[in-house]
Amino acid sequence: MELITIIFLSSGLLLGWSLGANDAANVFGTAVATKMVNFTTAAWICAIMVTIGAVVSGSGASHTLSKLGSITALGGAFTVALSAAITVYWMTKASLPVSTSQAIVGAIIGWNLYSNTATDPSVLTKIVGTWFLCPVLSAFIAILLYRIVNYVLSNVKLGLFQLDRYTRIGLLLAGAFGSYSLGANNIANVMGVFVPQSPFESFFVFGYELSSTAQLFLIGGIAIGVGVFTYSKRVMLTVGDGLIKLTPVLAWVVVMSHSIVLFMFASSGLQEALVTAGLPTLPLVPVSSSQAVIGAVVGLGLYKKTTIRWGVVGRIVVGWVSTPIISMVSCGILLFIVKNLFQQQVV
Amino acid sequence: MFDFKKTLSLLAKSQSTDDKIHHYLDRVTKSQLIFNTLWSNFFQYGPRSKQSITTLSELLKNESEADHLRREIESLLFEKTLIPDSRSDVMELLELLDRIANLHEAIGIHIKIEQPVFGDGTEPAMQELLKQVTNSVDNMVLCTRSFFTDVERVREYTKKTQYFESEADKACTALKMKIFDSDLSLDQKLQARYFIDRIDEIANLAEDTVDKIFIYTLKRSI
Repeated sequence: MELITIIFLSSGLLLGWSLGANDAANVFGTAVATKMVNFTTAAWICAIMVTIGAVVSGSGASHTLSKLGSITALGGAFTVALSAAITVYWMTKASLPVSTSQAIVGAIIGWNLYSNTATDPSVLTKIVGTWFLCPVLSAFIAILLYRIVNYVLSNVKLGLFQLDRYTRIGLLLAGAFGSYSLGANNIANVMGVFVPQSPFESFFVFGYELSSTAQLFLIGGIAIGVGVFTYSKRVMLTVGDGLIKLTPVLAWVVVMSHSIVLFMFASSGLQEALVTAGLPTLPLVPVSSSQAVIGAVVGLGLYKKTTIRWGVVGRIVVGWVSTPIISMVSCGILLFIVKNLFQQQVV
Repeated sequence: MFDFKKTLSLLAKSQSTDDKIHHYLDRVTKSQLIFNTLWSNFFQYGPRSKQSITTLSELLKNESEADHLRREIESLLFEKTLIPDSRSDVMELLELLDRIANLHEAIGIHIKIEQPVFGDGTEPAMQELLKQVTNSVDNMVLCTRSFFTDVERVREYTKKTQYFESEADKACTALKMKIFDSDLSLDQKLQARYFIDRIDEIANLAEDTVDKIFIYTLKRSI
């Protein structure tokens, strides 16, 4: 592989690293912050399951993203991923809540505008629609799970230490499922734009074909894993100061709701099963892991009539609206620079 | 590498801590039973009799073993970061239980030192007070066990403990009236009152403990 190809892929890997650093906290944050699960165990489970999720189920959401804008040059894909990464970095630095999914979508639209490629309004509507649907769905699932957990705990008499043990095991399993769903859903944000220009060749491992896309997703998954190990601990330890105070059992409910929602928006197997059963399906779209968590927490807060810090919710909404716009503008500027200053083909 | 060993050991420690807490509660129950025996020996054989001295040693040994167990539980709770949400409540609960065992010990030692005089015919009234105090402690121990195993029963044992505490108050008043109506000298009466009040204090501590447990239980709802 040429050096220039590696350089081009680096922006996607940077985006993967930042995703791992930030979003692992949505899966294991409360568990690690409350010391229910130790960080090393959480990081290993997260890194492995994110990679498996990315390689096994990452193609569905990635396919939808490519319909929004199929980047035709590796230089363009590099710039799109870089603008999303810069947006995520800048907003994180400014302590504004940010979504990698919204950053990459904004950047792709920026590329479409720059290259005079029409943006399919039906695909865009589908994607933006899921941004609204994701937190709402997460809130309803969280309320449902909360009621189930409450019913079970009232009827199955668990001792204090027994509940502690089961909650720890539950948080580990929910974290593993959440990491798998995160990899499956969000790998599209990290590596999706590189799929049409993948520099890899397919090959067989133990009779299983590892396609060029799967290889891209594998290195993207590893980049996320590196982000988890190198930076997510400090994010996890500050996550406790969120919207409402979560008990370990409530944390389990939140992680499960988040994971189910991400899985629903990523699993082509589930989509096929719903089609077979004649049920309505959900589009396979990369959604924001943080917004799924926030939806679940706000849903629980409203259901339990707990005081919610609405100021924090307001900041989240501001971040939600501004992320794609900032990413789109910065992508336009960067594409201009990469093309004219570095003489690279971006379209 | 994966630190799973650490996680598995954590789950095992959680089980052993649970067992240790139940052993600690056994010690509190035993402390109350030895304390009752000490008073029986006091009335039957005298405060410095061989029987009373042996029982007092048993009481002190039990208290020291309970203390050792309590410290072990406290360090396990912190070192292994068990029950993070309820840890401070459990620590406070253990301290409250410790005060009961300490009070048994303190009264026992003062029986030997001060050799109080209660006068003739007061033993049945003292036994009645001890019976109500023991009922309070027993129900408090059951309430504590329920807090760890089946919170639904906490309310029931809280009510029972509160009932027996007020019965202990009545028995305490009756015994003090008997003492102050007797021919004992004023200094003997005041000294006897000191012991009676301390015995009644055990039931008060049991009531304080179940009141706290009731609040911890409310906090535990998810």
